[in-house]
Amino acid sequence: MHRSRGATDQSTSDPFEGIGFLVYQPIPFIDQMFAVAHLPHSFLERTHQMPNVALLAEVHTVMVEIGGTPIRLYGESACFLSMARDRYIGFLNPGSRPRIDLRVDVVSRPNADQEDLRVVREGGLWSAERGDFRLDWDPGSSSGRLQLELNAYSLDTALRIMHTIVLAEQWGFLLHAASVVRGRRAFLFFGPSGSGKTTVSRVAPPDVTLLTDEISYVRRDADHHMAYGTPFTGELAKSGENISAHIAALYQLVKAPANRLVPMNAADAARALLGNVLFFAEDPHLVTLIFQSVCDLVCQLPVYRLEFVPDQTIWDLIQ
Amino acid sequence: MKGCYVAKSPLAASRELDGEVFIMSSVNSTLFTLNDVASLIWKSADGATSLQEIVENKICAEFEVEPSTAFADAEYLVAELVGHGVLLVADHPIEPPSLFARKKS
Repeated sequence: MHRSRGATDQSTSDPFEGIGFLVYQPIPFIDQMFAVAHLPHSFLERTHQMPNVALLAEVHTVMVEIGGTPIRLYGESACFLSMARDRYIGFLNPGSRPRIDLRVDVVSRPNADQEDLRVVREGGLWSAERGDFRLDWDPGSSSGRLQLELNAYSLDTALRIMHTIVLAEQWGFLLHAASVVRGRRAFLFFGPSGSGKTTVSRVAPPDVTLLTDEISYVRRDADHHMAYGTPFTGELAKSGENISAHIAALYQLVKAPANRLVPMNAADAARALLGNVLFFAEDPHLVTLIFQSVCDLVCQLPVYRLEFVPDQTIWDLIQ
Repeated sequence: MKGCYVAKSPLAASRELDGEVFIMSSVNSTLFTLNDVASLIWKSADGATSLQEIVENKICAEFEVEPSTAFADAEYLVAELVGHGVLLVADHPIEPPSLFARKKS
């Protein structure tokens, strides 16, 4: 379909080839990837690490700060709080003022009948539930309650949900992507499971700092898009560093026989990125915000299709 | 449907990227991309211009097409987008939601 050079010049009008549109059935806003069975290992099998000494005095409280958003977890279960401290060891900041206060109660199968994740806002209150946890959260009072099984991945899921909601209002989102910092700039590598996020992270040279090999934390701060480290790990099972950097570029990962970098236009980049944004809530306002955030990002940052051989030579293209 | 009016739903977000119109349904996260002709209808869907006017004054003015063919295609597009909740249709002009809200208050 070609547009005519001028609406008044009928001789130059183009043939009509129909009114076309493409429908991409619901952009997944991936949630199934967080099923407990897909996660790499059980926290409870991990060896205990040396706890942060400063936290020993606060046995019943853990302040987890990811992306500059502190969430205070408190409760009576010492086992849970010990688990949380270990799980988020690089992301604890007991001196922060909490953005959200979350009372945590450990229960067995809090939602036995709710297999699929459901996140809704009703009467101004957020609720998220799945078989292994239930989260109720009042943004007005910045407080809530989390009931869950003693499982780090249930906690991971609940925190990710809260962050997606908080981030949406801040022109940010979580992306199914690995991200790293090199030369003080952040580079993001996005794609579905199996696309090579962990591989890219694993073969990174020593001057590269890992932010995450699985879930990237993206937010626009002032005039820049920033990437933050997260403790959310993929197959690498290694927490990211708790640092941030301006995003320099994003890459859609595609395995290929040779390394090649292909610039994407904004339209293709938006289509590709939207399919990798993590969002769980059935909320029109926030869906709109995330859509606009992704469109803004692809207009401001370079996005490439990165065809790559899964070895360290890929890093020759990332500068 | 000739005399009907069409307007963008407040439950749809749209952006033009590289000349391509993207529409996101905020209800179910369905993404639509439109070709040139469909984009013209979308951009013209202001609630005040009838579908017939859009077809005659915009589409037929810019593309080589018989009005009857263009109108049949336009009807199909409108029905699809209305079905997904991103377009509103009525047999009278549609006030923008924001103006409507202001009047009520």
